[in-house]
Amino acid sequence: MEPNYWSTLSEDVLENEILSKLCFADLYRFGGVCKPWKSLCGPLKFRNHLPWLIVPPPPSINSNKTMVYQDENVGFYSLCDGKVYKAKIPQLCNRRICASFLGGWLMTIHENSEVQLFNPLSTRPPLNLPPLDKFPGVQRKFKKQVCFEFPKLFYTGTRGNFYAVHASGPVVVIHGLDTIPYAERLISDHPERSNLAGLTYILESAGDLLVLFRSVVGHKGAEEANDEYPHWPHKTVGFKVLKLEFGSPNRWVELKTLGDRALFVGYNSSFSLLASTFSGCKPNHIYFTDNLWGYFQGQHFGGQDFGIFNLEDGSIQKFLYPPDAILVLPPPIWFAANPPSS
Amino acid sequence: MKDSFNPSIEPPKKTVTLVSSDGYDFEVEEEVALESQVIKDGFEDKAVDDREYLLFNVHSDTLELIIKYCEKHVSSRKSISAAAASSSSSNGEEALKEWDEHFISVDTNTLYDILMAADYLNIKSLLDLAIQKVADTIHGRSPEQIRKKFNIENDSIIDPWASE
Repeated sequence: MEPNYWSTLSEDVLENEILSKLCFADLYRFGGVCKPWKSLCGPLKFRNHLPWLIVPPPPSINSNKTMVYQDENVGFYSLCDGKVYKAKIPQLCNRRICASFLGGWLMTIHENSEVQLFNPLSTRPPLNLPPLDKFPGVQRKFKKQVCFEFPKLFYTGTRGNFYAVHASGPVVVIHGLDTIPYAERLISDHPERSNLAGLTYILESAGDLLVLFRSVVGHKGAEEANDEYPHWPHKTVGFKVLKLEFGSPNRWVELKTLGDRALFVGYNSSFSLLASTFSGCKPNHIYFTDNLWGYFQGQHFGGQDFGIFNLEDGSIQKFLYPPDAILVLPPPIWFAANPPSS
Repeated sequence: MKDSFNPSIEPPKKTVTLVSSDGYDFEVEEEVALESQVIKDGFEDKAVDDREYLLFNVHSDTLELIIKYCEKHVSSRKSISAAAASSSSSNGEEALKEWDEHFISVDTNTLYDILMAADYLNIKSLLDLAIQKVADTIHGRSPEQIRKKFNIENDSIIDPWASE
């Protein structure tokens, strides 16, 4: 018997039988065993697993209750078991993750502004994208511990268009992508937008174009601050979910329920999942991470404003990682191995 | 195969001959052989004197185990349904589960052979059992530990999913 016969196990048995019995973490380790097994660990194999959070790996917390990414060493925080799985991703060497996309894709940026797209679950080499300083209008320089905020662009297959939402509310559709791009305004600000301090997201969910307003309060200080931490971190207090109803004219409709959908927002490209197909996923909830970078930059805290918002009753369930860190750099980001079709 | 010989007061049962890859004949009862979906498919169309199956992919060592498994399952099913018919209490299913667990507690080489044979012969319950055993063996282990356990060579893959 050849010593390597397990590694040549028929794909049929491996893919359809064994992989379906493994949990996410086991699947990851499984993929590290040998090349034939690795090749079977494409994103499609993970379709039933709740997205993970990429976090600094333990035990990188220091005495200032600060956690910083260690280059290629990252942690994968599982919402299912509350554990962090350490991983070494060589493609992250000297780079920072600046965005993530459904299917396990990560966008990284190098100190010299080079941008790459790669998938840690795949053996494909990273794709080089135009460097950041070649993007029109991009002023921001890469900082070692800072996430680059990916523009809130969104593509929907059903309508075949790119949609974008400006931080101040209006939604545009981008035309002429293969010639001279220009933006057409679809709708102006939501009337309540000015009262809703915070962040804006755009995504497709169950065929609808949704815009989320995230309300964040911060620097209230007084009642919560103490000598050690004179400024208390900002925190998310709620979400408003709006649907852009196409018509003449287009109009905003506030959604009181997401049905069986769960939304994921943060530095990732926002996405919606059918909760019932993911073990442990709560329907009608918004899973959020901290992407209010500018707000806490230079402070002694931040990156830890993440939780699960219940649209039904407006409550927020916090899950802190690690429980006592007050500054996580860069903020954790969703890692969704699920295929974009979900 | 002596283990399968089962003196009975009933008329002699119909048998099937299974031939292992290394040329050994195993005469088993028809119902035991029919645990394999591959044998079951088209079984009725075969002439009674032609009920011989050449199992090119199953070594005699493995075939012996497979037959043992099928016999156990056929007899357990009978005693479970008999117990159910007489409404007497039975822990037959529990006992069978225990037996299965013991049966599949083998080294990974044997496990591989059983898995392959169960796949080839299409014995669903045995395939499930073997696959669950593989999954349990992988569970919680680092890639290095998995390689060791399954005797897989390190083909120097960049190993991003190191242990915790």
